[in-house]
Amino acid sequence: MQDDGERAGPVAAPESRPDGQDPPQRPRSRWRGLGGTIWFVAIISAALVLVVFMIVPKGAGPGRGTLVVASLPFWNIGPGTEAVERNEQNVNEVSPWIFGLGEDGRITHQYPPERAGEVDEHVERLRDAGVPLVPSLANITEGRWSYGPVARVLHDPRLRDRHVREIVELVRREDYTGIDIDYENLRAGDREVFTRFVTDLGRALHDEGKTLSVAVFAKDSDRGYDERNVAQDYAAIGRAADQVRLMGYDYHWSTSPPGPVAPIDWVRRVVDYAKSQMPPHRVVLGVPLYGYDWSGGQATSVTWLQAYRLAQQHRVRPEYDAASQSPWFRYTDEQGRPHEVWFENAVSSKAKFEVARGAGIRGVYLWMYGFEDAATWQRLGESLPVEE
Amino acid sequence: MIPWWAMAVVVFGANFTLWGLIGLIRLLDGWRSARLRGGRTRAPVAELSTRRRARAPQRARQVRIRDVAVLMAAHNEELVITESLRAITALVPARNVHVVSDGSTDRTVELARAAGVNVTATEGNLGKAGALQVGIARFDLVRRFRAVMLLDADTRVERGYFGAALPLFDDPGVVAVAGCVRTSWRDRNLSVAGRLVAFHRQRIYTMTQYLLKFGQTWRRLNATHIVPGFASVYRTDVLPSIEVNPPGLVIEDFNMTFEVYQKGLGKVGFTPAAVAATQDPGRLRDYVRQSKRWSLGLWQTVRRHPPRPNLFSAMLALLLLELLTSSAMLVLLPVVVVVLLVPLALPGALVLPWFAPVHAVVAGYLTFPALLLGIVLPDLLLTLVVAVLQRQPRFLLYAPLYLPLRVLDSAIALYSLPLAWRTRSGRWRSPQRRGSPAAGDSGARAG
Repeated sequence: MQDDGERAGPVAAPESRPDGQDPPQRPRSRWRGLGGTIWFVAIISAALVLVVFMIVPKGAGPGRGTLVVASLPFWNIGPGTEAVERNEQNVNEVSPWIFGLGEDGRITHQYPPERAGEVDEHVERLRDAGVPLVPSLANITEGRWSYGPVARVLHDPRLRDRHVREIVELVRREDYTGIDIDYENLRAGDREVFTRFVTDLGRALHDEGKTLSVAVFAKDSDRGYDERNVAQDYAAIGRAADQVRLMGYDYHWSTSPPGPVAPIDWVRRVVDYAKSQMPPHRVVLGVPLYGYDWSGGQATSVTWLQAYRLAQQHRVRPEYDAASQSPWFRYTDEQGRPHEVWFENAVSSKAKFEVARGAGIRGVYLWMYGFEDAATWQRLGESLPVEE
Repeated sequence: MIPWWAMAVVVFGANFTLWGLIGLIRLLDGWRSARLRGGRTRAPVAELSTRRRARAPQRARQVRIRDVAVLMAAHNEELVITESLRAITALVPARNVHVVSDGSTDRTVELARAAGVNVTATEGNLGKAGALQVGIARFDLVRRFRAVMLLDADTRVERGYFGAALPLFDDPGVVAVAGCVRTSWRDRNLSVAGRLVAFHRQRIYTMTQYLLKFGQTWRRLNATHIVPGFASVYRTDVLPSIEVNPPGLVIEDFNMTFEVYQKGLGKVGFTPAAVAATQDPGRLRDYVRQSKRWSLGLWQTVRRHPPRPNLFSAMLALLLLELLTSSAMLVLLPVVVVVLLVPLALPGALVLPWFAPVHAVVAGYLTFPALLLGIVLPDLLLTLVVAVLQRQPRFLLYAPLYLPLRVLDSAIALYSLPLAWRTRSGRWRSPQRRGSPAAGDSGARAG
């Protein structure tokens, strides 16, 4: 079949029309042609807008309201502070991981007294840099995760109220922007009291104009994988807290078989589940900047720099697992023991930033365990630009 | 990330959902009316409204076979015309059948005369719409008949067609009845590509006719964008109001349909029981050409008719919005799939400085499970529904190939969009017939 669009065919001239009828009224009114064109162009434009709207999901765009938090454990406070200062334009909140609980349930410092000077100095530097401070309070007692003190506080209404008052007092006294609660390894029976605590604390902080952030274990269903998941009612926490920080890591951990710390499809499921339980603008995805070096059924954590050096030292080239979006390599140490290392670099972190952007959630926090891949910051700025 | 259900809506379509639901209501309405009439039904879903007769008393009489003229435009159809005319004269008296040979240089006129039908010939090649216009005037169809069926030379009207279609004219508001398209693929010695095209088209015809057109032609909410020119019947008294052959259009039937609604001439009837078979292109190249022509014809027609405050314009806006957006999305689909596939095949690719960010962006929005759930599965489900409706398990044989063909259709639709501004002269030439008709020139735009 010929396409006659381009063909100047032997068209019968109007005067030779064999039917003897007058041809239909033409030329048509110009207005009508214009009206049809405007209408068609309008529909095409609307379709275009619709396509762009579907391709660019909410929360993307030039970083309006995007939150990027640097979480700095006290042992990395020095290099971490420098990294934040260097990349100030990419970060709009800092959470020094510094507070713990005493045996009596009172707030303590996690770090040993001899490091107090160093930590204080860096926290002040962060404050001077003008980045909002939301320090983390974890149920760490004497340098270890502990269940007893936090359980006593949560289950005793009197102690719970006192705890809320103490936290609000700390935030007010130190003029923090808010507090980040990181109570881990709770049990199924703590679900109700933990929710109550978070609700009370949120209300008390909001009354003071302060914010509440709650760190939760990642899960993709309410029951999750363990008791500790049951203890955290995402929906209720999402109602009480300004930020719910999903610990999107430790999918493989120190005593598990080797594997990616945060496989991308699992991260997506976790984010999707969180979004199903609370408004997206409260969800903050935790991005690990560390890895593990497994050997003999046990792993030690490694920073990106350590992993990089291990690979160089043993002359191996890290592979990139496309399915999980994680770099990894194997090597044999001086004692002849096989090792397997899974870690994170700028590319694997970028994939997670894009998950956050694509999902239209509030933002990410970087768990800055130690020296990270410096390119991570640039990737971060590209995916999740923050407002100046 | 784009949720899978949003993609599923894109695949199923807002229009299918809306008009499919209205179609369900029409079914219920039909049963109710049938019960009210004491269980007497002519056609399964005939639109037998008696209440509106007062509005158009001159049309109150039933349209019978002898009131129907058949008008066929034929350009060098010597290979098929005898068979076509034998088939139609089995259903309609030969004196009702009219052939306009549109500048044929072969034996078309001779063979048509031999078949005992009315024949005339144009001097030049006017194109199908021009030939139809000539036929309507020369045979004086408006005065002599109450309805005229426009028929393509390669269309086979099935036996129950008139029995199902003509009662729809009992509703005096109905001015045109759209034929229900079936593609013929048996006994055509089709290649694999030809069969694929036939099944793909039949799948589209089934979906659009049951999910779209059936609802769109309910007597209460009546607005359909196409009365296909391959085998449809018009009341002759509206033909003078319809511009059959305006300049610059590559096909005529979209325009005739638009004229019916935008000039407020009346409603369109449709029943799946009035079936005619068409032959879809037997080769992929012909298929692409025909699809391009259809798309261009639609775009040109849309451009020609400014909107009016009526249901038709609203229906059309929704339809076009979805057609354009889903086409854009479907055209992007292969790109997305390739970007997602590359790192699985070549893990090293993710270290490439330019590829890594592209992949990260795409993977942030779309994943294979989401694509599977949101696009592939709904598409398969549609195929399954069509296979059941058609009672033809062969549809499943080509199941994996329909999606790529939809991508092709989308690309063609978008490609021909700017042509609606470029193409000025829109005369067509009838297709080259091979041993058997290769490509219906106007074909059967069912939806």
